[in-house]
Amino acid sequence: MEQSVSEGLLYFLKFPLLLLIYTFVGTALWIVYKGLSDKSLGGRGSRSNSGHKTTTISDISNSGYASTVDDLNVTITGANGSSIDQAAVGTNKLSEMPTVTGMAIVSADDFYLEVLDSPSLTVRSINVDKEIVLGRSKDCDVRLSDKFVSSRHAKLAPVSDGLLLKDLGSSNGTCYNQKFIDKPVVVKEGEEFVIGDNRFACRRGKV
Amino acid sequence: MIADRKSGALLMLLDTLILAYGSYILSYLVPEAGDIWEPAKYAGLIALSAWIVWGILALWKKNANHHLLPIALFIVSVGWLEIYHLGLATGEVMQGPRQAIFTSISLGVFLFIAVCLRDYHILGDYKYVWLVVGLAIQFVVMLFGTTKYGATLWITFGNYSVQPVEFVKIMIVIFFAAFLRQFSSQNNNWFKSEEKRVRRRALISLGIGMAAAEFTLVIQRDLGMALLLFGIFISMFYVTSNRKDILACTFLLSSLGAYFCWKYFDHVQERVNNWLDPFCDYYDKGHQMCQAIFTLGNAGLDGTGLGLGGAHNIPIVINDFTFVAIVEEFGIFGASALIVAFILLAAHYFYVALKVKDEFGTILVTGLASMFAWQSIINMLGVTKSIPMTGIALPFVSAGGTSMVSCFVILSLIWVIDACDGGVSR
Repeated sequence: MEQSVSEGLLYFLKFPLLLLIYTFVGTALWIVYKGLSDKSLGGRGSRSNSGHKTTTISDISNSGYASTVDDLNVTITGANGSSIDQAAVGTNKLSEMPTVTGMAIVSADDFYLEVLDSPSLTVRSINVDKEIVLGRSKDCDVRLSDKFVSSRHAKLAPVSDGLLLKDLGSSNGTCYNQKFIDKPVVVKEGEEFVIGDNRFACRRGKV
Repeated sequence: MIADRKSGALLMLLDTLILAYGSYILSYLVPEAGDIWEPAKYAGLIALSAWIVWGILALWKKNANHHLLPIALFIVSVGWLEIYHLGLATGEVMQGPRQAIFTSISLGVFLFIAVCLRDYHILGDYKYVWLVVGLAIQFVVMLFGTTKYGATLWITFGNYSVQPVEFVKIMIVIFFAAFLRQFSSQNNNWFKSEEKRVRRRALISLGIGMAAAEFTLVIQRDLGMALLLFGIFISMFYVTSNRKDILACTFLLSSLGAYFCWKYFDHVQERVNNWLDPFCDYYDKGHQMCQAIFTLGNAGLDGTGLGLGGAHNIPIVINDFTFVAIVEEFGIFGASALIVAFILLAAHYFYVALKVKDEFGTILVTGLASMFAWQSIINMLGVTKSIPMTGIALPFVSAGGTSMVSCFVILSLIWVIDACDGGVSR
């Protein structure tokens, strides 16, 4: 086929095309990278790149000052009483938490955990009258034996309006409200969360 | 991953720029008698229909994945520029325009499925329909099909020929996803299940899958299809059962099967010999592969530039060896960018599979995504002489309406599953 244009021109025309192609691929990759390190989506980067250290109730109870949430003698006095998670993030000291005052609470055993779906558990409901740890290792209060569960996966504690759920740095995350949690959340009555292949729901009442 | 409208629009814009600039280059390649605006017109057709489809979906569903279409469109654009040039170079001037029309038809199909299929569970409810229809189509093709290049895969209506097997593949994947779902929901390790019935059915399903693959290989003489089916079944099976030992066993058994096929079937042996040493039969069977190797050798890092390659010397380059032509004219740089785009699209697919909350959705997306991924891998490895050459088309790139439509059907199914997840509960 006879060509109406010199080869030299075509040779130089190819560089902008390559540049455009690389712009596209670079942009797409950059968006993916940004998305994966985005906090709200629970990517891998989420745990490490939060700028400041956050102190949470469960962190304190981990560090040996208090063994359970009950011993901490804290109460939640937010407008709807559900803002542990909001209070815990963004403050450096427990004393600065706006919604936590030094009162005793935690009317325990008002809530229990219903097992909706689990490859390993045979019980249908779990009593949460104190702080419990879910995970694969033997010293956990609730042992889940499927592959996506870390040895100490998550911690649950009763609070006034539900169950306080905290991920203990598990590798596959704890899913609540379709998002992987990176800070403690309060699972309220009727709501569900997922650990590996296990699905749980929070229910009111006693076991 | 985020796939919001803003970044999706940016990617769409870049796609449009690539199409516009590419058609500017193509306008230099149009022969003296031709209309130099023709490439721009058809590029405009692709871009316009893509913008319309993307725009409607972006306005309609805010939380859907708005990156699937732009990334696919990127692959389509690069492939289309190459096909347009190859069409001019080989004298089949209508190839480029036809491919553009096919692309906009496929985009229409994409929009149609995305709008009409509100609840993807309905696919699983009719699983036996898919199986029966798929097998019936295969049977009809075997009886009344047209034979081209040694395989009976086409059905001809006048001037147009379609390759129904592209759609049969999707139907089989849907059937297999619906079939596997019944086991996965009960227990994670259904091979260890106490119930004998479940265990037996699991083994039967594996057997059916493997038998289908072997059947295609032996009866239909379609090496690529057999490899593809095998890959899809293995991927879906592994995702459902989470059993590495079964995976290893199947690989071992199928390697043995492949060895015996090579030993006792002439057509397999021929393919393998042709792969090992194409130059020993240069003028006949090895010609295509030899030309492809020459073409690849001509590529270099930055390629010859669009319009300067010699890929039109490869027989049937436009259907099978489009990737080789792209490597030659865009160079290793351009081709690796294209491969990254393929990986990106597959990654988006698998991300949807991970995100979907219900099991049927997960298995179905895994099947469709692994189909896309395996097709790309098999084609790219085949044309670069890394594995024996097979007749599998490169998704979104190879010339041909059926292949293009089926790729967009996969894309739309995954889009629907991503978009309606959470909105629909069972």
